Parts: sequence; C-alpha cells; structure tokens
Amino acid sequence: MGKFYIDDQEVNFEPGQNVLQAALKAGINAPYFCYHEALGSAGACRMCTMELEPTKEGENSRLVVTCLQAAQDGQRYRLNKGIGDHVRQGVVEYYMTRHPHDCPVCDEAGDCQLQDMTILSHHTYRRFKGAKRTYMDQPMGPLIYNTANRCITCYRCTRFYQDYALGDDFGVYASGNRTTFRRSEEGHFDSPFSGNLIDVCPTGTFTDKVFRRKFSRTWQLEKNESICGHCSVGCHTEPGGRDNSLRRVHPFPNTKVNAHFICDRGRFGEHFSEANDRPLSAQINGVVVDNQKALDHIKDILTKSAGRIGILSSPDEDVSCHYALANIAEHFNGLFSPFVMPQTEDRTAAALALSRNTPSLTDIETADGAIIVGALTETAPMMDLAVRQLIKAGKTVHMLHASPTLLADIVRKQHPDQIHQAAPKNWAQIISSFDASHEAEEMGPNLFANLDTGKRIIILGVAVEMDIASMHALHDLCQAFENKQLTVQLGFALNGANATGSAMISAQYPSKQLLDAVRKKEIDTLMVCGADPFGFGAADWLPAREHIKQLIVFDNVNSPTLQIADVILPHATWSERRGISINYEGRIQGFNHAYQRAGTLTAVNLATALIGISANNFYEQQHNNIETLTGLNELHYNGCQCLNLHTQFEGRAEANQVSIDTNKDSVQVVRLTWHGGSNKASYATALASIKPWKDNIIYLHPDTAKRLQLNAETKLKLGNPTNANDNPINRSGMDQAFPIILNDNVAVDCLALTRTTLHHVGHLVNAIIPIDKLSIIAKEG
Amino acid sequence: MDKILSRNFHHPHPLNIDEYQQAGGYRSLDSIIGQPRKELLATLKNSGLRGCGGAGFSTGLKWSFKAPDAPHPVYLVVNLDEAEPGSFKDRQVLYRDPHTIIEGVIASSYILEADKAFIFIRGEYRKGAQGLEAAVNEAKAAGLLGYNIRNSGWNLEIDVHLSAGRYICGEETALLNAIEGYRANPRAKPPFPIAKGLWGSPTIVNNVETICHVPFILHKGIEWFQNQGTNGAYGSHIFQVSGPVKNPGFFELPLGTTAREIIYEHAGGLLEGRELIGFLPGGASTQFMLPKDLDIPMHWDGPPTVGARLGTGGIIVMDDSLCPIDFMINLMQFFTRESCGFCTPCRDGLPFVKYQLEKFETGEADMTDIDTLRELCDIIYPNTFCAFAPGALMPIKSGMDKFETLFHQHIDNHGCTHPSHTPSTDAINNKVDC
Amino acid sequence: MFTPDELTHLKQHVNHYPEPRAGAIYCLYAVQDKVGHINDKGIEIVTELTGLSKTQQEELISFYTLLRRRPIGRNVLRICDSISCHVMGSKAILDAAIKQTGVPIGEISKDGSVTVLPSICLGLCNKAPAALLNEMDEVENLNVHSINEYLNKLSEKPHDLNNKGSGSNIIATSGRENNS
Repeated sequence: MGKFYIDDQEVNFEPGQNVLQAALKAGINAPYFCYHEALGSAGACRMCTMELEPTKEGENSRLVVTCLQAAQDGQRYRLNKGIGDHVRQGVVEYYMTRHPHDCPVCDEAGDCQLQDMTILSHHTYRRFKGAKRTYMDQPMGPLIYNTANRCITCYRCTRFYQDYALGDDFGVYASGNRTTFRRSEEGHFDSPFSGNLIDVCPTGTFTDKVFRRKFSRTWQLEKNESICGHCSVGCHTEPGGRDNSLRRVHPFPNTKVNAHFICDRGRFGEHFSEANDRPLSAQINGVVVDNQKALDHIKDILTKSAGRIGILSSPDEDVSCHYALANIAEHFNGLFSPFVMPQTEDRTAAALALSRNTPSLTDIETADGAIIVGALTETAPMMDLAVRQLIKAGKTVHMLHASPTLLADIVRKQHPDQIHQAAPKNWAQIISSFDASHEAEEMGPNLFANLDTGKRIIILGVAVEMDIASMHALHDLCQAFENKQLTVQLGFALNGANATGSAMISAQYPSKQLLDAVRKKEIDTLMVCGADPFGFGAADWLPAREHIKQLIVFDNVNSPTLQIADVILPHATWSERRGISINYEGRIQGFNHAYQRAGTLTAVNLATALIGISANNFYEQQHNNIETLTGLNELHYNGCQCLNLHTQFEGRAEANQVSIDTNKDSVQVVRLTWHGGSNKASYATALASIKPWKDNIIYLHPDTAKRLQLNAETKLKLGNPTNANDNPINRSGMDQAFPIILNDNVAVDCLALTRTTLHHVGHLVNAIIPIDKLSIIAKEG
Repeated sequence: MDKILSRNFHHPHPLNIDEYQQAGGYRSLDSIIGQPRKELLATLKNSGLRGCGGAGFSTGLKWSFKAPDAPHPVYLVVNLDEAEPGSFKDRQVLYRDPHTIIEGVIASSYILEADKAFIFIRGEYRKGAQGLEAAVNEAKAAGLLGYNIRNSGWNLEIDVHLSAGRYICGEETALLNAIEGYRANPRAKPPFPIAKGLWGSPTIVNNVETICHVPFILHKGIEWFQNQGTNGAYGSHIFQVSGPVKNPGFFELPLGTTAREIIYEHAGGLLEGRELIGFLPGGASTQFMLPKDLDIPMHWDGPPTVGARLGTGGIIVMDDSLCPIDFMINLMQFFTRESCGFCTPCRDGLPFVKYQLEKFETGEADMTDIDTLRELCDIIYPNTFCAFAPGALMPIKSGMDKFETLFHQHIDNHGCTHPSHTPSTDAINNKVDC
Repeated sequence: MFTPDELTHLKQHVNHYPEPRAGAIYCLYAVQDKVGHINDKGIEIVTELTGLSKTQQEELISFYTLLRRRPIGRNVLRICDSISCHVMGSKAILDAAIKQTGVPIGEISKDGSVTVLPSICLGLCNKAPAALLNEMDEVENLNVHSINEYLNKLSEKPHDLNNKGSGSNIIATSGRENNS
C-alpha cells in the first residue's frame, strides 16, 4: 500500500499495481484503450501516457505509459496539466487517419470508448486529408458483426480471444497500418466466448449482430442487473430491453461470480425470449384469450380437480417461482416437483452433497491443477473459461470425458496424455485409479505427484453425465489428495440455472413422488412451468401422458409440451421478472426485472390470482422459508452469502445408488451437446443456427463402429429403452434406424446423441444398451 | 591497423575449417576456454568494446548485468538481422568468413556460460545462412561445439535460425518473439532479455560484429584492441559507403576515421560532376550530416557533436541528383511499410508523417504544414513502444533542421522543382503483400 | 508433399525447441520451398507438426514478408527500393520491370516466369540498384537495360532457377515440386 499523485490528487495503490490500474480504481478519468482489467497491459495504444514529474533538481519530466509503469510511492504524474494531453490528442488524431467518420450509423455510437476518449483527449480538428486505409469486413456468422475499418488496433480482441480464452480461429493479420483482425475463413467463431469481443472492443469493430437487428440507442435501453438463467454458474448480466423486447445482454461488471465476461450462451441464448413462436398470450384449447380469463379458467379447473393435481417446475426456474407454484399445489391439495426427472434430481442432490469447499470461478482460475470430468464447456461454459486460465498459466489439467468437448480439444493440443476418454460407466473405476496414494505406476497415473504440499487442486464434475458412484469416487479422490497435504476443492456443474435451489426444495417435493402419482393415475391434472416433460423428459414422462386429462403449461418457450397443452399461460423470463437463484456454489442471488414485458405473468402473479396471496405476503413468507431451510440469519440476496452445501444436502448422496453395469457387451448412450444447447438457449434463433451437431445421427468412435460392424452404408437402430419402467414407451425413434458419423472425440463404446435424438429414441442420458439389442440396417438405395 | 573481421576476405572463397585454422583461426579459444570467466569479463569491460549494432552500449557492462547465479539455460542470440538500409557489414562476414562468427560465438558463450546460441539471420541472407550452417557442422565435427568442450565441463550448441523477413526483427525483443514463433512485435521492457528472454530464460542479444570482436580482444589484449582505433576510439569497424560514389563498398578501418577519409579516400569520392549535399552516417535511422561535418571522426562520440549518431557506420551519400525531401519520403516509405503495427504513434503516426512530407513534394503544403510536421515528430518521437519510430524520425527531424530553407522553397514553388522529381511511389507502397 | 525422411527431419526440428511453435517458421519455409507458396495442404501439415491453427499460421505468414500464401511465378524477384538503391535509380528499375512483365507489382507475369516485388534493403547497397532472385541469387548494378535482359532470360528458362535445397540443412527439403 502506498500513494502517488495525479494532478495533485492522491491515489492509493496496492503493491504490484500499475499507475493506470490504480488511477482507474481511484475513480480518475484516465484515458486508455488497450489496457483491460482482465487482459492486462499491452502498451500498444499509448493513450494512457502521462507526464512523470522529476524527483530531483535538474532532471526533466518524462512521458510515461502508465499501464506499463509500476506504481511507486510518492511519484507525481501530470494527466491534464502536462504535455501528456498534447500527446493523447496526437494519438487520437493518428487513429482518425484511418477510423471512418461513421458515428451516426455506428451501433457503438454513444457507448463508444473511442468517442469518449476522443472527447476526453480534447482532439477536435483533423489535419490528415489523405486517403483513409480501408479493409474488407469479414462476415463472422450470425452473432457478431465486423466493421473492420473502425478498428484502432488495440489488440484487445486477440488478447482476449487467443491469449485469454485460448481460441485459435481468430487473430491478427498483416502488419504496419495494414494490421487487421480476422479469421482465416468467413463464418462464425468456434469459441463459446466470442461475444466478449463486442465488449472488449473499444470501438464498433465488433458489434452484436443480434442486437443490430433490433437496435436501440444504448442509453434508451431499460437495464438492470440480472442473473443469467442458462447454467448453474449464475453469472451477473445486464440485459437491456425496450418496447417489450430484449435487445441485448451484457455482463454486469465486477461481481463475485463473473468479473468481466459472460459466455455466448448467456449473451445470445437469452434471446430465446424473442423467438417468433414464444407464447406471449394466454390460450384455452388453442383460442387466444386474455390472461384474466385464462386464470379464471385455471382456477376453475384446479378447484374442480383438487386432490388430483400435480405442478411440475424445472431447475431452469427460480426459487420464487417454485415456492409460488408449491403454494398453489398445496392449496389445491396437489403435489409439486421442481425437477422433471428423478435421475437428474438424484444426481443434482448427490453432487451438491458431495461437493467439498466448492470453488468459485476465481478459485478455479488461481488453482495449481485441476481434474475435469465430463463436458464442462457444454454444461457451464464460464467454468471452462476459468479452467482455461489454469491451462494458460501452465498448470496441469486432467480431463475425463465421454462426449466431445471443447475443453478437451484445448488440453489435447498440448498434453494429449492428460486426456482420459472413456464411457461413463467406467468413470468410477478410472477416477479411483487417479488415487494419489497409489505408488505403483500400473495402479494409476498418480496425478499431481509433483505438486508441492499446500498446493490447491480443483476437481469439477458434470453432474448430469455422472452416475452417483463416480461422484463418490471423486469425493474419495479428494481425501486421497488431502492425505498428500494438498488442498482440494470439488464442485459440480449442474443441470439448470437454479439446480441448487431446486434440489434444496425437492427434499420436500421429490419428483419421484409426483411421477409415481401420475403413473398410478392419482393425478390427472398437470400444470407445467418451464419444464418439458413430454419433450426432453420423454423417457420418464411419455408413458404417463395418457393419464393426464388436463394439461396447463405456463412457459416462455414453444416446447413440445406446450404444443400439446390445453391451457397456455405466458411466463416472464428471468430478465423480465424478479426472483432468487442459487448457483452451484450455493450462492444466493436475487435479481430484478431488467425491462418490462407487457402481457406476461410470473408465478407470483399466479399465486395471487389463484390462491389470493398478495405479493408482499408471498415474499415475506418466502424469506422466512429460506431462512429456515438454509439456517442463514440475516439473509441477503446480493450474492454474498452461500449455503452450506454439505449440511444442506446431507444424506442425499446415498439415495438411489444404482449398481453399475460394466458389462463389456454393451454400449452407453451419452449426451452430445454444445455451449448453445441448454434448455432455453436452444430456442434462441441466432445462436441455435450455429449448432455443430446434427439431430437423428449417432456419433461414435471409429473403434466402436468397427466393433459394431457399422460403416457409411449401414444405420443403427437402438431398440426398446431398457430403463422405461413398466410400460414400454412408444417412441417414434425406437424403430427408426439412424445413420452414423465417426468422431474420434467420442469415447469408445459410447453412442453420442443430441437431446433431440435422445428424445426421439426415449433413452435416458447414460442409458446402457446391450449390444444384442442393437440392430444394424443396411442403407436403402 | 590489423584487419580483424575482414582479415580473410581476400580469399576467393570462404575458408573451410582447416584453411581457417591454418590461417590462425580458433587459436583465441586457447586463451579463453578454461579461464576464469570473471576475469575475461573484466577484460572485456575494460577494453571499451561497444555494441556494433548501432546503439554503442558497452558490451562488457551489458554482460555484467547477467546475474551470476542466473538459472540455466542461458541463451546467446547473435543478431544478424541486418536490414538497416545502407548497412551491409554483417553480410560480408557471414558470406566471406563464417568461421569468424563461430569463433566469436564460442568465446562469447563461454564467458556468458550460455548453453545455446541462436544466430538469427535475415531471410534475404539465406545463402549465407547455408554457408554458416555448413561451417557450424564443421566446427561440431572438429569438437569445437557440443558436449564438454575442451574438457571445460561446458556445453554449447549453435542454432542457425533463418528468419522470414522484416526489419523489426532486428529489435532485440522482437527478435526473441520471432525465434519463439510469434509475430515479431517488440516486448515490453522490463523485464530485459538478460533477465527474461527466450522462453523466460536469461538471454543476451548482441550484434554479430560485436561478437566477432570478443575473441580477439581476449586473445590479443586490451592494449592491442585500443590501439586499433583512432581519434580517441578503440578497435576497428567495418564502414560501408553506398550511394553515388566512385567506389561504393565496405572498409575495415580504425573506429574514429573521419567521414572525409572514408568517403573520399576509400570510397573514391562522389561520381564525376556530383556535389555532396549531405550523408547519413550509419544507416537510414540516423540524422543527416552535412559537408561541413566531414572531418568529424566516425566513432561513438563523433557524430553526436553535430546531433547525429554513428549507427551502423553505413554511410549513405546524398548528392545533388536528388531532392532531399524525396530522399526523406523514401525513408518514410521504408519505415511506414516496416512498422510492425503494434503501437499507435508508429503504426498510424508514421504514415501521417509521410503524407505531410509528400504534401511538400506535390505542392499542397503551406506554412502550417511545417509546424504540423514538427509537431508530429515531437509527439511520436518520445512516445512509441520501441526504438523503431524514433529511429525513423531521426533523419526527418534533422532534415527539417538542416534543410529548412528547402521546405520553404517547396511551399513557395508549389511543389518540388528538382529535375529528378517524379510522382511518389505510393502505388508500390500499397501493394507489397504476396 | 514431404517424404517420410523430410517429415522426420521437420518433426525433429520442431521438437528441439522448448515450445513447438518456435518451429513454425522453419516448417512454413519448408512448405514454401516445395510448393512455391504455402498452400492449404501445407498449412494442415504444419498444424500437425506445431499445433498452430490455420489462423495462427496466417498470422505469421501475413507478418513475415518472405512467407507467402498466394502462388507466385516460377521465380520471385525482389527489387530493392530502399534508400541506397533509391538514390541509384531503383524506381526506374521497378517501373521497367512492371512494363516488361505486363502486370502490376506482386502479380505473376503473363508467361508465369516471375513475380516482381519491391523489397527492403537487401544489403547489396554497394551494388545498387540491386535485386534478389528467389532469396538466393544477387542481381547487381541494375539499369533499365539490364533488368529487361534479366527478365527476358527468366522468361526463356523453362524451369525455375530455384536452388534452395542444394547442399545445406537450412530448410532441408529436396527441392521444389512441379506445381504446374
């Protein structure tokens, strides 16, 4: 801790900070372009130049690039008073020898660092009258729009894309004043973090193409801090809307969860709310009615069917939504569940119970090594970005996976030996072989043998891909590392943004209870909120479809379940409502609506209309409920408090431990997903258009194809799902034969299927199919 | 004066290792390898050898910054990325006597305890690089390189690295990026390469001519070395003269020889009927010197007395066949094209400078443009990431001072009235990528 | 493109650096020596060898002047236009070359024999104006007459004058493939 002065203003600094960094922290309006808090200093733009006053008699003052200058006690800088201002004017004038004068039509205008800095540096009049150098714009897919002429060559984009996010399909081309930033080919980016180019770019070179199609001046947007509803990390975002529609999503800066960035799923996936087929009005039997009429109708149904009612929510919905729906269910003497599928519920609860000192994103970034189990990028992209910081720092990252994942591609490139590819049914055994206490080489790889005592390891698992035995194996592995005097943090990426909150509630409202009641025909009226039991939950729910006489769907996407609903109610999205979400760490995070969407309802609205509880009473009751349930006093919703996951979920890792079938004569179904493929984000048109996998195809390793005697001329039929309980379910895909595509990154003995394909064939994720149940069909023609 | 670097140049072909050793080559290593490094370094420091790449920093002092307990590997990087217009001294040694380079590298690496030496050669000198590589293989076969050299317990490998072009690679940190397989943008200093260079290891970067001097200084002694210079300077230097002179070429002469002697005696003076207007003393990125400065001794402290610097000692003669502003535009064309594009003042400022200069040539300039040009130079000069742009502006700044009336004449005459004047070469400048 | 021996040599070269990307320039040179420029197939091979993506290689190729992504003529002639050659009249040489080849600078001459490029100082200042053929052979003391003659000579030669592979380990591949 020390202090220096800028134009006589005192600036405090921490050791290791540079002058610019400390000045910005102190709130000084210091100009800069290429410096970025997360990306560090480059020294390229020369905008942060200040004049350093001499310390000794007879010395001259000198120009200093403050982002490269370590802060030192007692130094005195001139920002506006010295010749630095003159220099910055010059720098901006040089930029303007190339930068177009297209501010009136630029998306960035008004929210542009170049504009701000131009004004701040007092540059006004341009003396360069020559021809401006121009560049070809490059089409960069449906998400990002490139206007190459606007580039001021601050290198932030490649420093983010390559150096920070470890992408390799975008870079800097040519040199001198021909330098330009592009991809080797036209088309969308491979990185799940490409949208951050929009934010790190200080000009309008990279702009949000989705926003561009429904552009609003940024200062006219309704904005608020919100929580991203697309994975269990729960990043802080700032959605901006206007005139009843979402226009764009930005990361909300400097929060405890995500300091600077968000992933493309969070940024572009939230636009599911703008899908053309989003239900925005109530319907009764296909006829559009006003909300009040629909609510009256529903109240009527629920009153008449009291005692035979089930309400099904999903881990994609927040705690308030669950509580409101649970209240309604109880009022009408019905059952409620926040989970659609018992398997997901069990795995989520077990993962939370087995978490140990769950690492935050910052914990991950600063660890000394990591083990990743499952397709992390595709489940919780921001966790992956944190792991990439470890890789960048040269730390060892081991990876065990069954389906293709981008993180594995990155690890494989440098350390193919750190990739362990295997079917999930073998994971428990493989994880046990990582045991650090094994001395002999043949017993296992003995990971992290060369880490010193006291170093910290992160273990991250993808809960939905792991059976509970392999989660236990990870938990045991922690103990083994701790015995070696290493610190270990174990966390899981969960399915659903509010998976933790949902699992907390599901102790009281288990999904199996609701599902069994439906199967036993005790329930014939089902209200569904945010869930898709007859679409992606088909493996469990489709056999029970015929027992449901009345189906009410309260949702904001046009899901397969909504399409067969008797009554439809339009649900507000997270950006459009108030709520509470609990992330994978157990962090309790409240959010408020960012913009207004007329005509949509919240679950609390429903509770008021159907059971007469006022919003104020509801929130008060909810607050007390959460305090009781979590044991937290003085509960806050600002993200500073975490649940004690261990006590909260104690005992829930033992339930439903299925014995693992390691039968060699079987194959295992694994989910094939991508970073834009989550429940809601898959309805975002622009994002969904770059989905890398095809539906109704089976992806498998060449060795598996060989073993099954499959080739380009054959198709594969999966047969009857073995885990569909009593009634075999009649799925369209059951009798359908699917072509295959070979992929080296699918583990041997695995069949990787997209969600849509899984839904067609009716198999659960990780279902094991005996080989003799498969049939190979010759391709016709 | 004894010829050192060019002592074997009279042979029709580069000497092979046997011929080289017969001519006394590698004998210096007898008095170096196995000797205490500290003493050798002290000798070097006291000899007054200064870096021949253009900066003229004391070599011994620079090497003494290497921490004695610096972790291994230690790298020596020999800068043979000679691309400074008007300079061709390193080329001569490379093409005519590669073993001299290897002898220098072995001696220098021994002092520095370097484990590996990279000789970084510009891509345009590929033929020379091949000759050097063949020589390295000879030296390896002769046991001069490799494991436990002369039972000293010290190992050395030499890597001949062929660069793929670009002037900026000669900047020492850009050169490190180039070796590592990155775009050759300079790196921020500190950390200096001597602390953290190639792959984070201590790395010493020196010009090849400097390296070649080292074994001779250690072998023949300080007194001998210091006697090689004249007018108060030490050692010899390969001066080069190009431009409209009768005998353009390179001449190994005592450091401190006057410009007059170099141009008029060794290079034969200007072509018939030509008049000397000025000259750049050491490559394109040095300041102009005028005919009145001809008697200034060409050593590190000579040219600075008239606001110039010795640079590489590659004298570029400017005569009356060309307009000095055209001369400067050509220099700026070179520098704008070769800017690596990393920092703003260089990338976008230098083309602006060139544009300003061209205004004088085309007659679009008025009096305010002189101020604008000066202001551009003043802002860019102290505010760039590396020394490239300051170097680029040295001839412009000094040209504006020394040929000021000429700028006024161009304004008054609405353009260049010099008989040689032709439109600018911009069309070429915009079309260089292949 | 490469023989197994050549590939082994390239692999060894890449592996002798602490990081594989340091071998990229060497490998790209090797591709260029074979093909005349760096083609997509070559990029794929260099990806295999160094782990650098296509974009990352193009970052290098577009930075370094001697690497080229586009095809060139059978020969590439780099005419120096830096100051020492400029004062000796290199502009006239370039103009003459443009006229003689019938195409703008940087394009392949109509007969496919040569691509003429301007170059930074070649270190041939004492023989100005100078040029460099295929990064190997010096062409010195040019004048408008001699450049025309030289280009004519290139035009008449049925095969390229490329002799980079001869007798050395620096980028040791066995010579250029016929890419007609």
